[in-house]
Amino acid sequence: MQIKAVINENFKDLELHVCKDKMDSEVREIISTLHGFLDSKIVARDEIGNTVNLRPGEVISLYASNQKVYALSSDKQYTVQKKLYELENELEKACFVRISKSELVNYKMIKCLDMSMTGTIKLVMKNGYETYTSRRNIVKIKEVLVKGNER
Amino acid sequence: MKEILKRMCISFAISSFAGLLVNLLIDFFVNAAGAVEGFVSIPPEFLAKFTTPVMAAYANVLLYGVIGASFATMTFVFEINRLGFLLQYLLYFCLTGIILAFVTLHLWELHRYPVPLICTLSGYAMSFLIMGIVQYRMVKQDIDKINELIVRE
Repeated sequence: MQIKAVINENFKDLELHVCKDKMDSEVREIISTLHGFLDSKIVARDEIGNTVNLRPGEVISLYASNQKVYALSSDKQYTVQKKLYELENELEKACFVRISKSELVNYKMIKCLDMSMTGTIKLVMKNGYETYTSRRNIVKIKEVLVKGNER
Repeated sequence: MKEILKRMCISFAISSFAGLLVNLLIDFFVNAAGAVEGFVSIPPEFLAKFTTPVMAAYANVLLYGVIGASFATMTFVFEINRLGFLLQYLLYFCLTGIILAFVTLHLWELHRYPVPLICTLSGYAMSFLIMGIVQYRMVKQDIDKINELIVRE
């Protein structure tokens, strides 16, 4: 498969073209994945109560605390009305992976993983945010990264 | 809570059945060999706590179930991510060890039989040690692989 980026000042908005001689399951899957990735929005509220549409790509972590769900971007924290499992289902194609019972992270934003002598597994995100995961979820994280690399 | 209750029930059933099966096999083979007449694989001190051997056997099977259910319940410690899994193992080992010690020492009175007691407790400790080392190495490998994939991206 060839992936080509055409950089031209005539294109003011981002355009994605999927080209093949006929419509088949592969084309449908790619289009559906792209829609899932690009069209999904996280409806959230900022600290003063304004509704904000967040692009999944700008969110680093989605976590539950005190029966509320929060979205964390590189510089701000928002509250989200949806439950974590709903977000997990919706954002499956948008680079989010469950790292614990109460948290999903954007795996594109992971900087590295680190394990201490006692076996605590720390996830360091690109913005410096640090969180923890369990050995059970390590396998899941590895799987999504392997899949992401194969694409 | 629902998940823990489910785990408890399943473990209770499996442990009771497995305990019953192991006891049956031991009793069958020891009696078939004819080494001890009317052998029952229940400590005499435990048997003495009941009016009939059948009641003791039922209680013994229930005890296997209780051990299994409590072991399953204690798995909640593995959900505490901040502990790190070696500490989780240690905590799990201590909590389940208390239950096992209560049953083996207080109810079965295995302290009167040093060999079975040492076998039970050392087997238990060894299995934890081996599991811990294997898990640590597996997780370390997975983390190295993940970091490699992140760099490649």
